[in-house]
Amino acid sequence: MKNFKRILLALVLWAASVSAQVAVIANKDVPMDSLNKAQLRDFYSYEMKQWDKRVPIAVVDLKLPGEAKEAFYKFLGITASRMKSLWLKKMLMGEGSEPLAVKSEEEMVQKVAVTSGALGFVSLSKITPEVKTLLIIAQNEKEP
Amino acid sequence: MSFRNLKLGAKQLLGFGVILVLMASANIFSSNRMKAVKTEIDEVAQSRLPRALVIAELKRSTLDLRINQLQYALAADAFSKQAQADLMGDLLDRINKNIEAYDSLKTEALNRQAYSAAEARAYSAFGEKWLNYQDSTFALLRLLRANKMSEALALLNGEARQVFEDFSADLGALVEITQKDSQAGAERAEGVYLSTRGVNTTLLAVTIIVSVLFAAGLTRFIVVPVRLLASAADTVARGNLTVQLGVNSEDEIGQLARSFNQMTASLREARARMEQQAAELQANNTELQRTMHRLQQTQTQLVQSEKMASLGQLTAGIAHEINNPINFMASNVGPLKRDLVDLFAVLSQYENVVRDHKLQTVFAEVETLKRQLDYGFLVEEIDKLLEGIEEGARRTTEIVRGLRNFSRLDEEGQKLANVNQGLDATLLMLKHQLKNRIEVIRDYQSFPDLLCYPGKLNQAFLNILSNASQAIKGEGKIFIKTSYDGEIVTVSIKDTGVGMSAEVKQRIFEPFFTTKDVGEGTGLGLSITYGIIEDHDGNIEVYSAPGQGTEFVITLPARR
Repeated sequence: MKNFKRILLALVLWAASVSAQVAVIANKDVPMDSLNKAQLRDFYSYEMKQWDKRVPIAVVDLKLPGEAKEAFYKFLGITASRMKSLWLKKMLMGEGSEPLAVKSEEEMVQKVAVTSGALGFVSLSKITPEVKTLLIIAQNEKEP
Repeated sequence: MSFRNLKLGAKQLLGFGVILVLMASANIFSSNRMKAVKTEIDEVAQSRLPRALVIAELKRSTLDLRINQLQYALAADAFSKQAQADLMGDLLDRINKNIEAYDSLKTEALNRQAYSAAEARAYSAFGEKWLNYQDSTFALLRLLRANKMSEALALLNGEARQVFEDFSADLGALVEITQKDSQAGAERAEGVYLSTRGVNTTLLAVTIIVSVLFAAGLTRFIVVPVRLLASAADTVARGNLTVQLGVNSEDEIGQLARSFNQMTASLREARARMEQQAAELQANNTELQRTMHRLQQTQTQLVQSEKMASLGQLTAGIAHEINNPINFMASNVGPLKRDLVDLFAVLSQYENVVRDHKLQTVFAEVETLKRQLDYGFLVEEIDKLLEGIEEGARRTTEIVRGLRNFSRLDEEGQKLANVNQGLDATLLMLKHQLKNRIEVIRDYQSFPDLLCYPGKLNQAFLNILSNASQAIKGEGKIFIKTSYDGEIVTVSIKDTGVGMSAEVKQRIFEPFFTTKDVGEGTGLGLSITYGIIEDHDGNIEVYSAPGQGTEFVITLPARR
């Protein structure tokens, strides 16, 4: 019975991870076509503040919790709380600015599409041609 | 195969095995239960309490953050503002570290399925509110950056405060939950411990009972039989070989008992054989002693006969030498008497002539001489003297005859001899001892001459008679009786002497046994006698008691 429950749980998580395939998206004006994990982390935490000398990075965060957000933060290896603290610390040092907050993935896509230098994430299914996809996070290794 | 038939080792093994199984089951049971207790305690000690600590730390840090934010907002100068900003960064780090520590503890607890739904709910509520609080901090920083002081303070005392109080409440709930769960765990652990202790006590009691039973069994199967064996061995050691042990087990004790039985049986056999051998040995020994006794007698007799042979020769010589002169005397006394009668007749005739012829005056001088010499007495005295000589000669002749009779010792080989005459000759030898003191009463039956060693037989009689005379202190009697039934001659010599004790009677025939003072007796007499009678294939018996005299009865087979 216990094993059955475990198998069921694993199946559900696997299904979730499959459905929660997340894409890192950016405004079309960013000068990069792809990102690796380290770059993504540096850019998203304002460790790097600009795409290049012309275009500053504008981080967009999903305000409410959800599968996409969870998968994204897991991929980064950082908690949402920690990420928020990092942003706050940057602000306290006068180096960064508050990320743009959106309330839904649809709004995220819109916001990234219209904001110069915007960097965000969204479920793979929500992508529109208005944004540039830099990285697809296929989370197969699931952690309960 | 019953328990009784098991070897001792198997019995012990079985007993110890049962005890071991009991102890092992008690141990396994309690170790399992203790594992459960340990799990509970570990859960409390390594997860719940650390979580509670982390939560407490979180509560403190968030409170610090709240104060810090107020101070940051109210900071008068750039320097203190920067200090508060640095502190806020540190506090945020600390809070995140605590959150991450809690998350890792939570993940482990989830893996162990030891994370309660209530705690999960409270924590996720806190998580959301905390994120909201950080959002409000963004707003705060934004307002302060825009120098909207009053709005910033309004935010701090309004929305931010509300969120803070909310998640503080959540943290309080979390602490309470972890405490309650810890309490419950401790109680469960205690419950398990108590029930385990109960079961263990029961198992211990059972183990003790089984051990006692096992010890009793050991006693029953080892100690009791060994004690029986020991007492049986003791009995055997005291010489009772009839002991047999009942064998009712197949173990070593049983084997021992069987071996013991075999041993006693062998011992019995051996002892019987030994006793038989001892009896044979005894018989042989008796035979040997008898032979030796005969040998000694023979030796003694040899010595004695040698001695007596010499004595006999001497006696014979003396007898012969005395015989001639005594013959002169005996044969001359008669003629001398006759001659003296003739001489006195002549003298008497002289007196008649003197008286008839009145020649008294002429022979006055003769008469005077006669008176002077007491002639009448003289004549009478000559008669008496002659009678004395005659008597002496007769007695001397008699002695010589006795000596010659006795000295038949030196005669070689057996001769026909008259036993009664032999007895008389021996009595003659003893005449001076008996004299008037002892009366000899003879009761002879006449019978034919016996083929014998007459000298030796006489010596045997002499020894007995001599002892008889010596046994009679003062006056007494000796009865000598002979009889003949056609085959056996019986000679009985009985005295009225002092008699002898049974001890003395048993030993009188032993050589050199004597009751006389040293130097008075050789202790050979009766043993020689015994030997002599044996030489004649005869028998000698003695009947005596102290104060009742002694009787020797000699029986001799008549051979011709």
